[in-house]
Amino acid sequence: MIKITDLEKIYRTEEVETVALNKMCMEVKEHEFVAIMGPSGCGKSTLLNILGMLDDPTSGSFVFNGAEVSKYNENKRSDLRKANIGFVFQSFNLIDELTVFENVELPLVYNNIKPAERKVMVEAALEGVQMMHRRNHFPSQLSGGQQQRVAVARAVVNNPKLILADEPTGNLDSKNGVEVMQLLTSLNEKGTTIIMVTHSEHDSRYAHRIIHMLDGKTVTENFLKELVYAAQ
Amino acid sequence: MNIKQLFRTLFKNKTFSILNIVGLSIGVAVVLLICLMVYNERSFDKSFKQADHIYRMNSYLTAYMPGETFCSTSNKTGPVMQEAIPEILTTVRTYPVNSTIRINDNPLVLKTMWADEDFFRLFDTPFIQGSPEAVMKQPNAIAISEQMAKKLFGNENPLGQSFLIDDEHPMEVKAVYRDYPKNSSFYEYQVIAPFNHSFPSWFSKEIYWGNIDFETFCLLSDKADLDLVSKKIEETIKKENEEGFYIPKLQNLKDIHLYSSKYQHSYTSFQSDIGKVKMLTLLAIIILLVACINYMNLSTARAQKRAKEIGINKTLGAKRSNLICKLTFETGIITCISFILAIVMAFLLLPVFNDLLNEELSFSLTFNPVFLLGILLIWIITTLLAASYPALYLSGFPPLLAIRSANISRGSVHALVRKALTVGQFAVAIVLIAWVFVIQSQIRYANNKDIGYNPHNLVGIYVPSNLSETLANEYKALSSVEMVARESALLFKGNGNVLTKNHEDKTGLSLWSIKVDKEFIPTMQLKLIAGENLPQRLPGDTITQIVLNRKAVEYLETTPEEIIGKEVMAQIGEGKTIVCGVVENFNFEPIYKPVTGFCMHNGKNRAYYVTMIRVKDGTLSEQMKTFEQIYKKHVPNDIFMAEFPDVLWEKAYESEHRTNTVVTYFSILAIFIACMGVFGLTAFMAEQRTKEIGIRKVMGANVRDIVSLFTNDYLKLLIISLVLALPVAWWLGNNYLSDFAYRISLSWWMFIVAAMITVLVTILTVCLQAVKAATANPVKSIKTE
Repeated sequence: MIKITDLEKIYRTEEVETVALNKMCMEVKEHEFVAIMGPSGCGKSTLLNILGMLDDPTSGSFVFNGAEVSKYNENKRSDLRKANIGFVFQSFNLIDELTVFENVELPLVYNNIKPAERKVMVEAALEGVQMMHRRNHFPSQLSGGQQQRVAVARAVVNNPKLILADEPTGNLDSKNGVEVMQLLTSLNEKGTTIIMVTHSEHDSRYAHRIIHMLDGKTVTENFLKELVYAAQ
Repeated sequence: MNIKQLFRTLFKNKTFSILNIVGLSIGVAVVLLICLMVYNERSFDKSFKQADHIYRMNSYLTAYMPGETFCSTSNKTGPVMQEAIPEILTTVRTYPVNSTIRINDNPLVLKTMWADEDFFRLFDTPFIQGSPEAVMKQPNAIAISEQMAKKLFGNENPLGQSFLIDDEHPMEVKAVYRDYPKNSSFYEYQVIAPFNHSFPSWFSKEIYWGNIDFETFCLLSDKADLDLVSKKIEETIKKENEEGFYIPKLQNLKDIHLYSSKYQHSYTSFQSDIGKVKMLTLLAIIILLVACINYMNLSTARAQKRAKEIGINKTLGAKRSNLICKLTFETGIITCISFILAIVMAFLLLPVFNDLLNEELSFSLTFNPVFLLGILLIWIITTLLAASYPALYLSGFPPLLAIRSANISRGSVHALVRKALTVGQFAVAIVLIAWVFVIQSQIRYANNKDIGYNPHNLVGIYVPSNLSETLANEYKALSSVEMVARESALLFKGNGNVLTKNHEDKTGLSLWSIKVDKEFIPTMQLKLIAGENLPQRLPGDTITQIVLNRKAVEYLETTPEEIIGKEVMAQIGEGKTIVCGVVENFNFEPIYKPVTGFCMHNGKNRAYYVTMIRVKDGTLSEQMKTFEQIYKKHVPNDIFMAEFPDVLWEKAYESEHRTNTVVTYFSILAIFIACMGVFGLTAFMAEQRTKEIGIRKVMGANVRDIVSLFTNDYLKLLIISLVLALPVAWWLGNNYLSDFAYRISLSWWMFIVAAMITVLVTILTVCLQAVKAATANPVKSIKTE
């Protein structure tokens, strides 16, 4: 599904040149659950942003579903992104002014799905994370775990092929953290590819494979489980 | 209170600082210019020491033109009132005329004021040479202004110099007075002379009630009660002049300049109108308000950024009052910078402004404690206005919340206030644009209106009456001349008469009359709607034939066809007055005045003083030389004087047009300032919503989605302002137009277009910012925690 080759991302300011990704190579197969680990500043988040097409690489190749996307323009990337990718962030990133329902609905609005259809999809997604009863609340009225569940619902409402999760449990206590990880695992079991950046050894064990990064490139890879997937 | 810190903040937020300071200074610069003008207009005649007690005796007409006020009165009024009423200490009658004098055979027209002896005692005038007594108590003596002395005699001693006035009367210069200030009604008079001794006419010798030609001033005693004096005047005139048609009314000297525009028969050309002054004052206030609202909006919008600073200050022990002081002080510094900039701008713009208004304002007027104090006051008001809301708002942040910099200003009452202010600004912009449309449409209408005659390709030449026929014939012979007509006064400047229905009709219709020849109606291209053109008067004629306008016929409650051949009750010419024709109404006065009665007659006792020449299209300017040559052939020493009706017509509106142009430009400026505010506010909103935009983008929103997110917000505000602004604009437009007898009717398009322009400009401004926000990299924005 994803193949990156010699990917480089260099941040330049007037005085400093920071290499965030240094000729990084990686491949992710469909239905895989990959955890990316590494110390702060090793380039994990940069990698995730590039994979999410929120940022573009300085050089190198990024093939997504067989298409070279590193040179796509903003609009094309946006189209590709909204059709295929869901995001889960450490800080949830829900919009404060919108209700739970409206937050989850957002990706569907931007995908031009009809209101009636949207309602069904949002409700299904909220059911999936057991947040239906909170549908009319605002994010500030929810606990962290609940907010993250809403964020997960938002990420999956559109049935994306890929979910990118950036430390999804980082702001949660362990109980809520486990719940969110179980949610992600069950999504993966239903066929969604997941790439997750994490600091947590515990969380990483949910993945099929762990990639350890240091100074912008892969240092080791641990295969934890066989990728077994049976199409439904 | 650290100025260094303030400048650091200003510098760090360049866009905001520039919008704040420039917006405010443009506003203040405009306000300063308007203040300068208004100050000048309001300062007229105040320099005379006794100004508070000097009054002009106007005449309020009870018949002929009932309800009209003339600026002058009879030559008997002054002396009689002074005699009868002890509170009236002095009266001075004046009779201003244009006199021709000849210097080295070159004729020169001087504005001359014939006046009673006490003139210089009433109006304190510094003399450079000679004394008031030397002039006012001797025959054939005149005083001239300093400026005129230089012009006429250069470095020679003007005292003792003599010249002929109007080629007849020898006069000797006995005194030179310092020029009256420009903000004086007497500024334009270059010669002042006593008519008791020198006035070369019967006019001053025969004292009677039946004239109203003398502008008469009186001085009341310090303790005089104006109402009581007015009552005494009314009683006196009723006793002394039982058949009188006017009542003298007092008008203070200081009011003459601004409050006489509706009065008839004013001698000074230095007149302005309080309406114009009020309109500009209102505009100045609006502009200042818009600029201050801008400031408030931008500062409160920026509040969130400063929340942390405020919070820290508070935790470290600052009281709310300290913070209010600090923030007001900051605003004071910023407004001070803006004021300095504004003064520089106003200096640079003054020549343009003068040019627009045809004024000669200068900042030398401002070296005056009142004006300087005024500026100081405007500065303080601006500072307080601009600082009030931000200071109160920012200082009220709860410290902990402020440090954590949560979303304080979102969804709160304060956001509502800001929205209200923005709505106010939009509403002002819409009203101003609509106003500009109304003004401009009215001007266009006035310029294109069919005024009932054709003023183009026409010239009126003043001729001596004994030569009028000879000259007319010579002009007629020229190939480029189409028609030549003769009349008793230029264009339609006729004599005032009154037309009555019958003997019981005490009011009557005011009827202006001029004597014309039979060529006049076709030459002017007036439309004859009934009867015939005026016939040539035959030597044996005992009646006077007239051509009336439709208005006069309507007053007599008859039709144009029926009135032909009938006699009417109006004292025009000699014998019976018989109507021979009727013309369609035409605008013989500026179109803000309704048409009254007008007639052209062939009476015996008036001579022709003006020759009207209609030439072939486009040949007028080249023909003027020929006309002058022919004239000079007959009267070589005389001044050739010509007037162009189309120029006169435009001149009547000149000051009106100038004011309107200024209003238009300043309104556009106000709109521009409002736009700057919207720009700054969107910039702020974009900044505040970066994270939200980031999230939305990650969720798949494209640039268009984000831009419409912003524009939708503003569209809502715009719709509210439209609802507020349209009635106001409608009312203002109607109010403005009600001054014109002939006016456009307000049409919906003016308001729709005004609204559309505001919407368009706003959306464009918003888009500029929104696109920037929408194309920003979302990665950075969602990371901001």
